[in-house]
Amino acid sequence: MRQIAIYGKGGIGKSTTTQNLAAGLTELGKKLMVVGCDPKADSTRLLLGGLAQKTVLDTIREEGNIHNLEQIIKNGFGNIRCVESGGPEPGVGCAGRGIITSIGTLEGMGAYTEDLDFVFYDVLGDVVCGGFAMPIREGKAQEIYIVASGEMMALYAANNICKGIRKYALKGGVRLGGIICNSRNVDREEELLKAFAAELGSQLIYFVPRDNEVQRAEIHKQTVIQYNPKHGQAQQYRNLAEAIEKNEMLVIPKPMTQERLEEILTEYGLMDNLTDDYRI
Amino acid sequence: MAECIEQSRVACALGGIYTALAIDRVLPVTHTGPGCLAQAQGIFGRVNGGQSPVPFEESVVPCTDFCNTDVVFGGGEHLRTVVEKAIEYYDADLIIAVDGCTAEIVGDDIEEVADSFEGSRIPVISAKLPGFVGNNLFGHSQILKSIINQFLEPTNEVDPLQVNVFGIVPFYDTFWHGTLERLEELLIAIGLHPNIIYGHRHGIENVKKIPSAGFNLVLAPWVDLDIAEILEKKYGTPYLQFDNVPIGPTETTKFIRTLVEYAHLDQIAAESYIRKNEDRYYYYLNRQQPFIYSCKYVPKDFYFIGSASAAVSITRFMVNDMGSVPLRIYITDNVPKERQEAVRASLYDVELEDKDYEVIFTEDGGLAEAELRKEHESRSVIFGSNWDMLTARALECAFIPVCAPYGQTLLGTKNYFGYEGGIDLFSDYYGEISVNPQVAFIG
Repeated sequence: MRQIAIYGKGGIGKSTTTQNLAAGLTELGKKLMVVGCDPKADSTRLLLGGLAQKTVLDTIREEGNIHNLEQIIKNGFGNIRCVESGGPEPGVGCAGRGIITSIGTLEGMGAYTEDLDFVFYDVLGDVVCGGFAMPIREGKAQEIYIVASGEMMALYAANNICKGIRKYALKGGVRLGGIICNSRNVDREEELLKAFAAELGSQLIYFVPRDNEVQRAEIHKQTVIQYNPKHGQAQQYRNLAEAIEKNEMLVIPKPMTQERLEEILTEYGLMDNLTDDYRI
Repeated sequence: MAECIEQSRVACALGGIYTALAIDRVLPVTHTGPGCLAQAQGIFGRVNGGQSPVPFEESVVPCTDFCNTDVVFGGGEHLRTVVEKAIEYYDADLIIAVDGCTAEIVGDDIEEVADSFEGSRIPVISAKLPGFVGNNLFGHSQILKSIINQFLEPTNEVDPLQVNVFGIVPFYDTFWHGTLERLEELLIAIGLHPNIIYGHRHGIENVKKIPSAGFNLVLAPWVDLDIAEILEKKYGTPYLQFDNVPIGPTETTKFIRTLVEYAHLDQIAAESYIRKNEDRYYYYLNRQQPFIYSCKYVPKDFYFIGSASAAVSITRFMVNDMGSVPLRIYITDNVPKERQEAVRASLYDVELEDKDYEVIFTEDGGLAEAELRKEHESRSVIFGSNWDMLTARALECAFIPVCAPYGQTLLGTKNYFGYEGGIDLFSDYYGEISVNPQVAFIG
């Protein structure tokens, strides 16, 4: 079983990428579980055809305990097992501790069965605290992929996340598998991402081009592979799935200093005309 | 804060609730894990001279039993429910909702919870006591600040002779109760109207009277100066600091004369009181002299390990009245850096020519033991807490407990305040030297 965590700046497309990637892997005959680790609980929407899932933490809050896994796991597209960790109401409690509780519950209830080929953790934004690092601690996820784009803040966040990975890599087995570019059609984006990944000692594992078919599929609460399997974008996600399935380049990342990161951004033109071309 | 602490003589900030528990009929409600209070109890409760708070013993203090679901979802509503029930079931004059580390990390809004009980049968205020910010003295300060800022009403009636007493931290100062009772008698005897908020039958009415004082008295080298400063700013009440709880004739006489001068009291009556009590003190000393002469060995110096407040009191008495010399003084209560020089100055303000002893500020009580075991050569006396008893025995030193945790014994009203306290400490000192076979012997 390969346990994979997907990180990246908020709004970069982690959930969309994870679910389309998961859909691609099922077509390769793999058995998967996707664990949403975001209080917004929207990591499995495309696989389940809507926000049809009661979260682990909502169940604990309302019923005090989880009695059986059917309460919190639903099968979605391609028989992918879908779990949403959920979280407290905005502004109260500790979402990080919620993730820890949720993953602990899944483990305790025996959700990680031997027939699974992949478990994906779709984690909120940055590694803001110990709780959101949970999927990469204690020998859970061994592989991390960071979703990024050619935008400055996405790369700042990716570099920061690498600092978190490095910390846990030194004492555990977690490794960076690569950067996935979810393209925003920024100039020289692929070159920039390749240079950025190389500087980290890693790779740009796949460049997913921007295509409105993704948004159309999302409106229909589906992955592109389910919504329009013959579309070119569906093939892109299949390619991504294959790249990850075959990936053997797992490294301890070398996060760069702020100065070096900005040098790379300057080199690829991102800092030239910030006022005109600064898209978040 | 020290990087690590062995033999802690302080509790975490939650230990501050002992200040609330010392005020009659004030009930803390703790928004903490179930074991938090037990930790503070281990220093201030049963093993501190068998002291338990009255009327609310530790075991009846309501607690939210803060657990995982409170961390994940926030425990504010849980606290609200426990406070509601406390109002329903307890007969108290004031409730103080306090939180601890975890609730502070999660960010529970306990102030909002307390505010939501406005107009309830029992008034409710809140105090934040995160242990990662400070120790029980920080907690003590937080409790008093909460009372001042959230409970006290301003007044136009000021009694120029009313004096609020601060600087003695209940339970942390092991002898707090007996000290306050004797102090109250002394203040009345010299013409003042003492207002003491802690102890037997001292409760919310005394708390309400705080703003009407003519002045505040801080009997400590640094503790409660922040409270006196706040009260000065808020109510215009001036304060007088006397840097220790006086023990014996030298300090007590100085204390009385300082008060008489500051509050313009009857000097003749005060001097008559001083004469009478000094005469009594020396009468008892004379009675005990033959006993001292028969001791084969009398230590000439001492170590102190404990609070800054007790350190100043003990050092002044031991040097000025007993003619002993400090070897080293360990201050274990995390005195803020900006107050350390004042504490140091107090500890060197004694009648001694060669003041070559060290004053060490550390919360690590284990450091004192390690250093003493390595360096100590001759028989001496150790003033400290129950932690230091075994060290004293191992080094063949006499041991006098003066700080928390005092030990598993019943303290009663024991204290060393004033002239009588001097007689008591003198007696305990030579009593220990004579009965402890490892230290010195009666011939």
